[in-house]
Amino acid sequence: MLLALALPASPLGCTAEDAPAVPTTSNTPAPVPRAHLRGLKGNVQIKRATADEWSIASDDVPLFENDKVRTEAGAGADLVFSGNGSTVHLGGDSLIGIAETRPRPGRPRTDLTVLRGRIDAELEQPSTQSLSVNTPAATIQAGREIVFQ
Amino acid sequence: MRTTLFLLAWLSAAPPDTTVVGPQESLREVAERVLGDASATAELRALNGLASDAVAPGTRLRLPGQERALALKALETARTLVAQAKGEGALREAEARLSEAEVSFRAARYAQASEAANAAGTLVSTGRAPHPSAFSVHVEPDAGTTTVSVTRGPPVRVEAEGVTRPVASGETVLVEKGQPPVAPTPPLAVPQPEQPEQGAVLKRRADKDKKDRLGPVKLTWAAVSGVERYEVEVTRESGGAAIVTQTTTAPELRLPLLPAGRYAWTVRAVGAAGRSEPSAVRRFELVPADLPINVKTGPWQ
Repeated sequence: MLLALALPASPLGCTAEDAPAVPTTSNTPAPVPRAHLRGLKGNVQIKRATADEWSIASDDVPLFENDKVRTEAGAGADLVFSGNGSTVHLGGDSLIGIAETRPRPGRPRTDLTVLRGRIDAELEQPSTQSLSVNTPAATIQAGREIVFQ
Repeated sequence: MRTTLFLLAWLSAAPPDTTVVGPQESLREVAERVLGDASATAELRALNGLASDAVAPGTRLRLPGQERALALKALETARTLVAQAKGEGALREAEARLSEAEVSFRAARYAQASEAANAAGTLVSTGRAPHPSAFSVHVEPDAGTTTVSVTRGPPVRVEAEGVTRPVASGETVLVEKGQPPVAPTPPLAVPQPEQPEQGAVLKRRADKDKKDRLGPVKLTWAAVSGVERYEVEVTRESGGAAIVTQTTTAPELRLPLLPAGRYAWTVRAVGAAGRSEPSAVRRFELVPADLPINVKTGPWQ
């Protein structure tokens, strides 16, 4: 058994020339922005999923999965979701995260996680748009998924 | 090895979703016990091929699976949407599909019930003119409590701890962490200002120490039920930022001393259902009262 497991890893019968070439460039598709940040007012900060530090957000900055946005008291910003055009206004003293698009079995899809503070969401055409918001206590779903769930 | 095989055979033979009728237990009581709904006897009859509600104690009954919960959710959504669409077009067909879904559900044909309920919901939604949806979500700093308020458009679904509750326009629902959503509370009524009357001119004396300040002025309004506190805002009539912003639990507020001038004020009710809209703007003018002339009386008069 151990031998069977070890064989594929062994270099026996496989020369360096036969081995698959290591790609020099990544084939991973470029990440698609989930939303854009607009109408910034006051101190709005962003933390990328891959970063450890918060930085000052700028207008029209794209937001990707697992990015976080926070606002100071009196500040605000609008999140315009690329997928369905829904708009979410982020109030002051708030902290939100952009959710992953990867579906998880048994769990509803989520666009946005609100960890603290207030959001005001608008769907111009709820019959064709949808928005799902997660909080530590609840999941809020608006729009077409109500009918088709 | 043989023991394992026997165990596997026994496990596969054991009915996964069944229950046994207890001594002196009626079908209605079984439905209440296992499905939480005493009116679900028709479903149990259909599932088990029973001709009537009479069941002997010890009878093993087949129970519906997860598909019942899904069908029930679809039915509840369709009922809400159809009820809200009263008076709109495409309703007759939607009602017919909803009725079909109800019949299928009682006959334990859950897949057909889900399909018909979804069709009813779709008919209502597509037959309507698009109404924009607007709602707010507020998460307290302790990250425990979530408040969802729907300001316009179709209902929003709030789900927590396996319980889903539709929240209609004008309603607010509160969710404590680890608890299901509580029933939506109706929006708070807007307080109606009472005193001073609109445009009243209030003559008040100057303060002993601060000669340019006049008072007192007391604002009153009709009490609102379900309120925790009131928020009062007073501004100069010419506009600008509020010069007084105060909260009170009583339906009245004694203002701090103010300079002479024209003022406008509004009041909001705040409670578990959120904040009401501000009241209609009430205005008053504050002017210095004439100095009183005190004439002492005495025997020399």
